[in-house]
Amino acid sequence: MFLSKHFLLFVVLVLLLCAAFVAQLFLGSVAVPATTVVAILSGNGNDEILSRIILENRLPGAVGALIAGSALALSGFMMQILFRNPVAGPYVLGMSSGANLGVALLLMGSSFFSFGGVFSRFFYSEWGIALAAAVGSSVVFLLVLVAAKRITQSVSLLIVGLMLGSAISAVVELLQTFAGESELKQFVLWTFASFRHLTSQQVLVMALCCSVGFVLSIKMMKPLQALQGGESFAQTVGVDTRKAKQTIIIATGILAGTVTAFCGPVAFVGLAVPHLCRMIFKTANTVTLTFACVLLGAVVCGFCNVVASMPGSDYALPVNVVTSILGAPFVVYIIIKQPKTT
Amino acid sequence: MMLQLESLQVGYAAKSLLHNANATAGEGSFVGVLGINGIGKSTLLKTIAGLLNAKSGKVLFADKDIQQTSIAEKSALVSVAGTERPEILYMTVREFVALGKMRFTNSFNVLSQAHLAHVEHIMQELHLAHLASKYISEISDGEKQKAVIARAVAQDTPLMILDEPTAFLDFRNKRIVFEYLALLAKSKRKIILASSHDLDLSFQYCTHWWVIDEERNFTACDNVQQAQSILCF
Repeated sequence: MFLSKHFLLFVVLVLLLCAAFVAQLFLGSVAVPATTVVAILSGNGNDEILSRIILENRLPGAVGALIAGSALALSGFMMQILFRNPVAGPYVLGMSSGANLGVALLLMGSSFFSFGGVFSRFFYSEWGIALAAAVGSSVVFLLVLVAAKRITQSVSLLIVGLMLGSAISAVVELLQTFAGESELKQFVLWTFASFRHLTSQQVLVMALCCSVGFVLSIKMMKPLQALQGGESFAQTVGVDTRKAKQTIIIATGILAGTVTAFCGPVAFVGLAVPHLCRMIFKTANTVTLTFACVLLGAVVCGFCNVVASMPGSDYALPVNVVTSILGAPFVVYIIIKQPKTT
Repeated sequence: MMLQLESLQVGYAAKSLLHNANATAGEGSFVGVLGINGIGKSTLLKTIAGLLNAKSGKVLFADKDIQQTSIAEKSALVSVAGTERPEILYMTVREFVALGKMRFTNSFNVLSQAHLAHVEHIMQELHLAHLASKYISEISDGEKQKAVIARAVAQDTPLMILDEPTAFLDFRNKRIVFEYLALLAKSKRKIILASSHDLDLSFQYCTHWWVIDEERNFTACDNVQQAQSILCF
């Protein structure tokens, strides 16, 4: 009943999703004629280099961007309700600085420790970076949670998150000061976030991890509806808030952690898309909003990936440049425009 | 079903607000909880609702210790209308009242027709029907208060606890709410506890009174005269 009211909007979102997917395959820094792309996708490509660009570069990147967008938007959505704070999101509460620290320690901490022998091949590969990012973000997220237990005021918690973030940034900068040139470059490139480098294996692992997060989020749609009124309110209507809180935290951790591990800290999507969904759908129904976030998050990330690849030019922009330039003014707009609530 | 307070002591860690409260309330009782500001009415009500732990003593409802009851089970026994004003972006009054039916929704937040009809009926009884499609953040404080009460009624529990349900209402709406609660208690055989500073209405509509005097002594009264004498009328 709630879904049918917004049926048309969902149709539009699905069409946009298809457009975002197709655009990512057809547009990129290397100009490939549309007919060639179609031929390659239908298995009739005869140019080996172009085939590799489309099938091994653009296709996994396109799928990865869509998954990342959905996951980030969903985790931002759940965090905003859990912390009852419109500017909450994986980025603001320091999870991505944690991932930064993990990767920085791995890539630039060689003066303190290094992995030799059998381990070095794993730890200094893309998989090692993903693991380092995942560990880093989980540790910081747990710290924020411990703080969340003691701090009842969400504004204070936000400040704790910000302070934790800047303290971590200081450590990362310290590591950068002493890092060698190539390690430094590798690290900085990682912080730019990217979908284009994803391999199909990585996308597969990403999809598997995220699907656990998606299933948990679907289970949380109902409790989230009541949690919008606050924790003790949700309790009186029968929501086991302790259990719900734990599940939401695990789900956001899996979703945002996975994306950050494989794609780097993608800025603003997790923060802005849930607001965009609320503005478009003008509803507080968490079922509608959950599906809206999944679709719109994917659409936004897909198109940002296209813009980042700067079709027709020799340059490519970091994904974070695109999401921040589009996202930051939008968040300011939300804060100004939002109807009065406390 | 019966509500029993057994030598109940309520308060917070460092501070005890109320000692040795003993009372019973049977089906169909509409209990007015009376006392001056800061004397412990809200704390008492929260403790009875199981939202706060008792410092000592017991709250028994239907022979179950409310402190030991699971959240899910409790939501089928007790509904609470607190003093908070809901501020949820883009949530309609109808959706807010329907939150009381949470325990009946499926995992996609969908309610059966019968439950939806009940939600509409409650909004009509409390003169909220014309606001049903408005956003909860855009209505007045008094209207929000009625929505909070409607939400608690929608939960359809044998015990209802309301903390100053008429504080923000005009004189007409205060009477509507008291009349409606009295009717609910009588016709649906519910036990309703409502703290209030609207003494005249409380004396007129309630069937029992739990009075806390200025020395924090708790007295359960069966007649108006007794309650009035404690409050120095």
